Amino acid sequence: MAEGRSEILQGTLDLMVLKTLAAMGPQHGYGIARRIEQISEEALQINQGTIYASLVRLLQRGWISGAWGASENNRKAKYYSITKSGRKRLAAEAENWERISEVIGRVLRIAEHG
Amino acid sequence: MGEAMLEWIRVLGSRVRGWASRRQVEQDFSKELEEHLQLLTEENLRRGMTKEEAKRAAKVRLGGMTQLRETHRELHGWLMLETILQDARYALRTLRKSPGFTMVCVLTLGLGMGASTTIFSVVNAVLLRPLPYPNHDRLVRIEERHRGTFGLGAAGLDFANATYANFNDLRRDAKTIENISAFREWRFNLAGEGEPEQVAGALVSGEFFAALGSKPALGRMITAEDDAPGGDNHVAVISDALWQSRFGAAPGIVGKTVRVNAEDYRVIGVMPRGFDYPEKSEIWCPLVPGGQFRGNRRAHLLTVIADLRAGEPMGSVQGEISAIADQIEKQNPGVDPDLAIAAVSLKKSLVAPVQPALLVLMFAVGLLLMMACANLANLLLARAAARQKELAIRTAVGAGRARIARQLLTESLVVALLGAGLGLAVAVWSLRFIKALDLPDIPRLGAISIDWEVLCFTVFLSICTGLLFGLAPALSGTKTDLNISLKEGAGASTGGSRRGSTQTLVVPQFALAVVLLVGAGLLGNSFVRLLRVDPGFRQDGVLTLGLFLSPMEYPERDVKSAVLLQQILASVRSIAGVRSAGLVTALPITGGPDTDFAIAGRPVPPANDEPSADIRSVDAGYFRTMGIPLLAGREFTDADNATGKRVMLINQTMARQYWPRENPLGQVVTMKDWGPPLTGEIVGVVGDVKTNGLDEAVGPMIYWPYFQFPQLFNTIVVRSEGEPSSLVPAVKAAIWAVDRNQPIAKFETLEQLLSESLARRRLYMILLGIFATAALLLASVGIYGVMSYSVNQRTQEMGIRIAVGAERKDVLWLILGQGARAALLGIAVGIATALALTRLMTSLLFGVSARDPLTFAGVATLLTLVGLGASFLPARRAMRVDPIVALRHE
Repeated sequence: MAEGRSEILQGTLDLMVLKTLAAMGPQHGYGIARRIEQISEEALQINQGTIYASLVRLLQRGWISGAWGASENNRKAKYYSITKSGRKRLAAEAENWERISEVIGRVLRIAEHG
Repeated sequence: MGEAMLEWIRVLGSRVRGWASRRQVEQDFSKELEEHLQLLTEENLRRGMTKEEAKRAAKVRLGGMTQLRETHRELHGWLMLETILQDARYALRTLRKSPGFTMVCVLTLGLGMGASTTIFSVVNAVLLRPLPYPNHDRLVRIEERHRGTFGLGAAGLDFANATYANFNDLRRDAKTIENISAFREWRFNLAGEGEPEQVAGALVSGEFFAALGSKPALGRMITAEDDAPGGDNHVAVISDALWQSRFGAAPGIVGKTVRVNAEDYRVIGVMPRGFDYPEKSEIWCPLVPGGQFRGNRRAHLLTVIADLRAGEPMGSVQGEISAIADQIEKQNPGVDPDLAIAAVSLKKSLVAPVQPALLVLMFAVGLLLMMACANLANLLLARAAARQKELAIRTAVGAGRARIARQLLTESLVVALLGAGLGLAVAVWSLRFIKALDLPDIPRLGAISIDWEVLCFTVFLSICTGLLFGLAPALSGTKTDLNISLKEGAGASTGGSRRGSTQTLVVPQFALAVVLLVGAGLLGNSFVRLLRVDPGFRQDGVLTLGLFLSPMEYPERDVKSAVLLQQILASVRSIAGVRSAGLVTALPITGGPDTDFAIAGRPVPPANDEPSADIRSVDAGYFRTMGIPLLAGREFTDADNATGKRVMLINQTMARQYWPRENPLGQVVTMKDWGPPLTGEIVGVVGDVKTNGLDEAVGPMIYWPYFQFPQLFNTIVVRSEGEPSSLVPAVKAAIWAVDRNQPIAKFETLEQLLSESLARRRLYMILLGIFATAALLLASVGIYGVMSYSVNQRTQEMGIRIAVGAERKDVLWLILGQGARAALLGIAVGIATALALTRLMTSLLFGVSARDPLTFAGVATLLTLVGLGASFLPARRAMRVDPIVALRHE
């Protein structure tokens, strides 16, 4: 895998995880992965394990917190929830993302017409 | 940048926290993955897969478990920590294998860092840290200077206080300074509940607190209204310490009435903790100048302080007040000729007397730190040479250059950290020691604490040294062709090339040690000479105590005070175990008042050129109690009282100076400065007594019979048959039997007084002594280490020499000679340096020349012996080399 692509993917995944937690409240890893797949209407088939790298990164930066709880089947599962600083980060990142995607979109359109 | 840094720190923090519980974290992660797998499987089952299919599909969608775990571990950064720890563990193991090297390195660093941190902490607290007053950077002291006083004596003593009239003129006219205020240090007798107590304090003008910028913790401060004549002047501000100790920190203290100097004063405020200016003051009352005092231009009683107005440079202040001084002189011709007024920074004036000594110490610290680093460098280089073979082997079996470098760096770091630990311990211990000395005349000594910035700096320096010289083997080790290193067997062949750098590092070490030891030696020498100085009185067996008579109760020159003091003296003399007792206005050594005088029958010199003498009032028992000899004429008797004929005694110096060829007895002298001129006849000459300190020359001194010239400040001296301080309770009882409300200030024996007067010198001597000892240790450790390595490397050479017939004695001399040459060269360089540098400490010396040949010779001899001694052990090892073993060893 090329460096550049993984860089973008990594940041994007972190952003999606944050957004998912912000929208749905505490979730375990499986729940987050499922949710992202569903929202993307299964267009984005991620290797679900990669979600954990994302979770560790977010935990280390204090943007989410994790705690053990009971899963739907009453087994132990780790639940993640977004923190206050995580929400701040999400807002900033989302804005950033929109700006970039808009710019990229514009650039691509120019390229087509040009 | 800042945010990224914060984020990085947060991540690092979480990694370190996770490190301790990493097993648990990894287990948890496995559990988490299992659960995820389980949920995926169940989802697949719901979709109608078989159990086997569901499991396999789940695994595919989750990804490889092993790889996930690896990534997880990596993200936590444990791999990096793991390697660092591994390196550190390996380093510790290597260091343990050469305990001598490790100990010497750690000792070197610990001593160097500890000593420098200590000194810098002291210097910082005493010299550099701001005064604890908000306006500290603007505070100036206004000093009157006179031709007679300016430039005399030690630094800091060459100013005179201001007169009240001059202070008023300044306050009115000066525009470059504000909050111009005056104070007079004063004593306050507190009576009422509990034992009567005398505390230090000051009479202050209305702007005093504003000038310092300090605010009260409770109530209010003294203002201009309180200080105005005719106003409510009986108000007092007290210190936090006094509030705690005498009033039990009662919250309702403000508004309470206290008995101060036999009058009722209302407490209006309490200052915050730590505020004790000037000189450990505990109470402040308004100055309230009386009529005569107000217009006085001769009694120099007031210390004047002020704030620089914002933006005004010191120079313009000086210009303005000089002009004011000229104007004062013009308006009051003949009163105070040659009056000059100067403004000096208050901070500078506080630390000026101790500055030279502290700078010498700082210099010493710098040298010591350099020695420590040189030593470390030396040791690391020597070790590097010895390890070339080991490194060559490690390279041969495939260790990368970077890996070896990292290993060596870790070793240096571990040594540096161990040294830092020891250094911290040394600093903590020696600061505690210095604080415990409790030196009264070093300003702000109580505020000393470890200076962390300095400690960090020294740690940084030692780490740099460690890194720089620790890396040397990695660099040189990889440069050499490892085939050659391995084949030749590093030891014998590389010895030669190392000898040069050995000497270059031993020589400066010995030179530095010489400089420090000579400095300490000169100070020690001065101190011993001071202890041998004859103070002019017998210091053993005498107890002293201060009595300040409240001016309201005992107006000066009032018969009431004479009666009280005579009763007290009689009461004290009747105590069993008291041989004699006497009364004096100021003890020797501690300084005291002086006066201009005129000799009858001699032409009167111009006003600013009058002779001046110290002046003390003493009773008939004083000279006997102090053991001051009578050289001619008679002593005072009880008949020399208020109604008797005015008489005086003079000291030997005055007799020699003014009547070198005549008999001073019967001469008539007039004392001019203290109230109305007082004229008396000289009836006797007594021995000289050190007036201002053991290291100060004695000037002329006039003694008056106490009851002809009584004062408010008095000291009673008591000669006892046994241990003088055992008399304290009996003396207290005797005095309070006469007056229950008379406070007693500071019981002290004459021996304590003398010892305290040397406290500052003792501190310098101890500090420089610590340095010199550390330097001596470092130098001997350094030469020992270097010689040991040299011998180790030359084992083969020694073996060959012995095998081809060299006497073992010759081998011993060969090595000893090598050490001695380096040491002697260093000593020579050091002596030359010391000769140039010790001149700087002339002001700290007493009775010794800065080039005292005995001290220099002593230090040279000592260091030569140390050099030989430290080389002897390795030399003996070389001598005992078994040629067969040495040759086979290769």
